[in-house]
Amino acid sequence: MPTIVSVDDSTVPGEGSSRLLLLVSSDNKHIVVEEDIMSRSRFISKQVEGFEATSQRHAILLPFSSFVLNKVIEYCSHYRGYYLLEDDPDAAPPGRSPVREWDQEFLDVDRNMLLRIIKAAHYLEIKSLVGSCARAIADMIRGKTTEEMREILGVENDFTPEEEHSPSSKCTG
Amino acid sequence: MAGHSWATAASMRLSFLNESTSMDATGNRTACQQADAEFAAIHAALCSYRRRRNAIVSISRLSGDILSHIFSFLTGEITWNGKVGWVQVTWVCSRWRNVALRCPSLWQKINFNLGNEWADTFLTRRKSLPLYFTQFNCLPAHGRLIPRQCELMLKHMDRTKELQLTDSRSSDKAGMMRDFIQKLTMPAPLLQSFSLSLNVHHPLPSKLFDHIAPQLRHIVFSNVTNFPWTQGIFRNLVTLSLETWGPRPEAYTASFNDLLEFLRLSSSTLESLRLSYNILRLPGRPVHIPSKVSLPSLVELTLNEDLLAGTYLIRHLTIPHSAQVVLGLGHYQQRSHGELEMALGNLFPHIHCGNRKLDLHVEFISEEEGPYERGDFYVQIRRFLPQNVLEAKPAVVLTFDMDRDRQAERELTQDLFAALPPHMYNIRQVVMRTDQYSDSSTMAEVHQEDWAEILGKRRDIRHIYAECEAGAGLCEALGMYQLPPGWHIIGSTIEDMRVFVLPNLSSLILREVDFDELITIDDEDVSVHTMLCRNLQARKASGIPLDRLRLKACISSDWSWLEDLEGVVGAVVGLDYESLSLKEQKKMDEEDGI
Repeated sequence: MPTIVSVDDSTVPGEGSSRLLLLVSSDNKHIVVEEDIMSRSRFISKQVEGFEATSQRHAILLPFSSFVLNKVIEYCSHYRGYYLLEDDPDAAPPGRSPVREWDQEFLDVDRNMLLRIIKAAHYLEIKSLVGSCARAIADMIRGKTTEEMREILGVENDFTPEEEHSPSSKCTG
Repeated sequence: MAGHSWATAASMRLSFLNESTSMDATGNRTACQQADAEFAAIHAALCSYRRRRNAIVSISRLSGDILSHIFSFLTGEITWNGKVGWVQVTWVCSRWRNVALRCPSLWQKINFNLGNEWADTFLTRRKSLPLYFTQFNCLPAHGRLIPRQCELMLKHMDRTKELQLTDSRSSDKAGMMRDFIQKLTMPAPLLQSFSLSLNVHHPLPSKLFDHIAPQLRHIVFSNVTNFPWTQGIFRNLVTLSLETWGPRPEAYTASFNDLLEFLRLSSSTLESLRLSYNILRLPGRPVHIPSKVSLPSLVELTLNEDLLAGTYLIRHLTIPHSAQVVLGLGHYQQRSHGELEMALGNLFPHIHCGNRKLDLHVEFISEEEGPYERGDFYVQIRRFLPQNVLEAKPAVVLTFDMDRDRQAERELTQDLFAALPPHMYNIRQVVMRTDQYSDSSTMAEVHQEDWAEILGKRRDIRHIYAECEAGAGLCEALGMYQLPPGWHIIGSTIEDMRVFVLPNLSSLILREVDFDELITIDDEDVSVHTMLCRNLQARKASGIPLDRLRLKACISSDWSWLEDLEGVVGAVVGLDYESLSLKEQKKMDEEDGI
């Protein structure tokens, strides 16, 4: 759960058709963003519902850097007002996210950044972004050998000899 | 520093080995056993530390849910020729294996391409959830696996959600598939999708699924005869696709009454109706149809049928204005002048709609000279089409396949494109098709200038369908035309490999690389695949790699070319089936004594 701190109205104007939210990143950067933009995030939506119940507005502290947060906001801004099936809480889960050309360009970032974005998207409950990131990570290892996958994602072979030769491991077919 | 301390520690732990030269045989054996035990302990410690190290790398910080979500994008990878594809993720590290093994949804498509043990492994990992039997075919090389696979599918029919069966091209083994189909008489309570592709005509069993398949919504059949139109399990279908290849006895074709009755029963659910090649039989005398059949949910109607039979059916349907209509109306039989005129005249009033996506493909197929001149057929089309096409404002896709009469085709093409005003520029596809038995070089000459002119005027065209021997003409035409970015070419084999070096071509889809064609090509020194690789490598070297290459139903005598493609093209996808090497098939056939 994020830490929630109270903020005064001068920091976060709350009147008008599109209210503003104050998001605070782990590197203590304060980012003001329109509520509409972040409505794709189930997590943020739930927070906002909570504010309405208590008639108090708060800053939302998030456990990732401003760099990552800005990327997520860029994504949400791009799809502001768009209907994406994955983000519809009332729709049946679509399974795998469809390929979206813009997402592919947006996620053309290095491996670590991609992993940070997917974690942030998962935290913020933005399913469409989680799906697009998952697809991008899958594309990085698609068609690769086991050794290449390890190299790409910096993972070591940590199997014991018994595990390596267990029936659940390599089925010779 | 770290290396030194570990070396010191190891030399202390393994100091007993220093005395091994002075030991007797028993002492040496004991020292070896002691050393092996030490090595095992070191390995276990290493594994433990590697596990702890893995736990702190970025990818490991993702939750199991996200990791399995990532894996789900890989499960469509093709497994073939001993290559296990996506299953390799279970061999990367212990966490990945645990995540994959604990996620039954990853194992839903039971894979027979890797043999029986893998099929069993998939079944175990799928636990008790519904199954999808896809990519199952009766290849000769799979011959000895078939009985076991059939048994497995029958055993699990009660929890099968999707069943996709493809017949073998080998007549020896194809019988096995047909025997298997006759055994499909047990209930299939969860079955939603049933696809059956046969090479020769064959009927379904009379008690298919024991008449119990309440969830069945999608049917795709090739060469299935005597389709039981009125059987209860085929009501409420969402998709119905029926096609036949080659001549079939007239008794197998659908009567209009049965078909219309079926459509009436499925009217509320049917979204896609595709009937291709001799499914329809024109009634000998007019059928009394009390009212038109309304298909309010229809999204797509595809009819590749005789011109008169097709138009006859269309006249009895009411479909939404938004439904896409794909008509491949062939002139298969001799028809009188009046019949032709009536059919074409009736066609547009029934399908015309300003918002409809219409793909119209009229072809002349009759081998026999009729009482009328061939030219009559074209005269009729030329009379009706341009004026009606002009009325159908957006998104009309025209396909003309009149390769047996080049002059007529050329004139018609010129007429149509000359007639198309700028507001028709939303045409997205052009089909270049030649008869593979015709003289393609002459054909290319005939078309080259026409196509270049058409393409030059039509900057919005992004797709070209090019069938097998259209390569030369296509290249010449495209050479004259500056391709806009993001072009796609869809074809079977493309003879002229210069296509691949076109700078803005971003996708190439080879729909079918036929066995016979490859045999012919493989007789030559350089196979089409080698040429394909060379051209794709050249593209990559010049900084314009192809994003996507799709190969379907591909057979090759040597698969090394496919490995050569790895890393050359963005993605090789859709290597669907029959993807075993001929060498392997031959070897297994020899073992089977065939």
